[in-house]
Amino acid sequence: MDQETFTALVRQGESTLYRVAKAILHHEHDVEDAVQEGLLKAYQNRNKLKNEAFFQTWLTRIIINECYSLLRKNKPVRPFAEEDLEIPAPAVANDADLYQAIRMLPPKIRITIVLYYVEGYSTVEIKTVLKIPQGTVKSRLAKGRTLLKSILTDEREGDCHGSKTMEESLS
Amino acid sequence: MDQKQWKKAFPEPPQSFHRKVEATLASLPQEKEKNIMRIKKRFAIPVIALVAIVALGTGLLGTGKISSMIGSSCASPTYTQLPTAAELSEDLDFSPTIPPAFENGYTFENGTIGKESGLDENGNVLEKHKSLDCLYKNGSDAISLNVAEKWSFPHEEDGTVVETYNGIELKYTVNTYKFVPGDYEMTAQDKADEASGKYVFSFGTDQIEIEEVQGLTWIQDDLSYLLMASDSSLTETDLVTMAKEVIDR
Repeated sequence: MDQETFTALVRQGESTLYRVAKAILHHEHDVEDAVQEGLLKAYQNRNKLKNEAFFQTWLTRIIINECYSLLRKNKPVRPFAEEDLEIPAPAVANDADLYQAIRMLPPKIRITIVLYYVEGYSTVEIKTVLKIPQGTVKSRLAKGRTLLKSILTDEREGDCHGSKTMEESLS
Repeated sequence: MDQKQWKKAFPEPPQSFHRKVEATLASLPQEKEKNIMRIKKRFAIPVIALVAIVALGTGLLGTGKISSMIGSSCASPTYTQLPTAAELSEDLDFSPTIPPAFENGYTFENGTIGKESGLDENGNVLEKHKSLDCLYKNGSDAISLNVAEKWSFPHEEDGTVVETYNGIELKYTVNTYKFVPGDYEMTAQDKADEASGKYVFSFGTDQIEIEEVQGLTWIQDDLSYLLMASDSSLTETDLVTMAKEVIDR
């Protein structure tokens, strides 16, 4: 793969890279650092990718690894796990509610939900990207759906702005 | 709820993220460079490979070891005239000694600021430094003077000490490099040549080329200097003399 193709494919998937990294990391500068390191690593190893059709999946895997690597290296870096459960859901639009609800999911479930619903990956692709059995992908999705419903229902009961049903949101 | 709506729930990537991605893409090593930049790149590759070899030979760096390095620089030279100490200090955060010319006729042509990252075997970045790569020309011959902040990993096996000058060890290496395209598949013979030390392979050039690359390194004021000559008529003694000129400035 030449540099021009690499650059074009990265630009094409830039938003995906952001959302995937943001699903794992909290701070914007950590997201940027992880993506930068992932891109450098991907570029260095681009000739190991035999089929360009799998570039986005392959790059996503590298970015996820970088995010987890950053979490491991820099303990002060804060994944939005337990602490963020305490963040009150904003009383704003539904999109913001959904985003906050996604952020409240446990990390492993959150990335699975983001890849499946937000990025449109199939369970087979997620299995490859996360290196977990397909059954685990499905169970995480099921768990994630249940948790999202629960979180959003709680928000809605304490708030009057919700208009979509959970079935609409998660169908 | 369709995928578009799910995506809409996520915030748009901020401009700072976009700028970081673009800056990273812009800093990727150029593959199609012409004339002078291509020469610079060909100098830069052995620099990278040289340090990688040293790292493999010198063992641990903290909890890991550097097994490969990535070097990148802008496509256009940062300086086309000899930069002042103040300019270098501002742009690099350090101020290396850059002579305008050497007594044997090699004269400063340009200088390019780059970045060097040392990676472990899993591709994790262990160390990053800014560097300055200066091109000196003497007629059609060219050499490179590369300066970077000193790496954390040991330098004890960084070539053979050929002289100690003013308390500074000058270390010399010479290797035959086989430059190959990025998608080049190594043959069984290539692997044997690499294993035997006949060739050091460096990926990323347009065509296959074999060159003898000499390097002379030293550490001065916590900066790592490297004089590099490729298929040059310069000898080890010539490089030592040039290094002394830099040290004496």
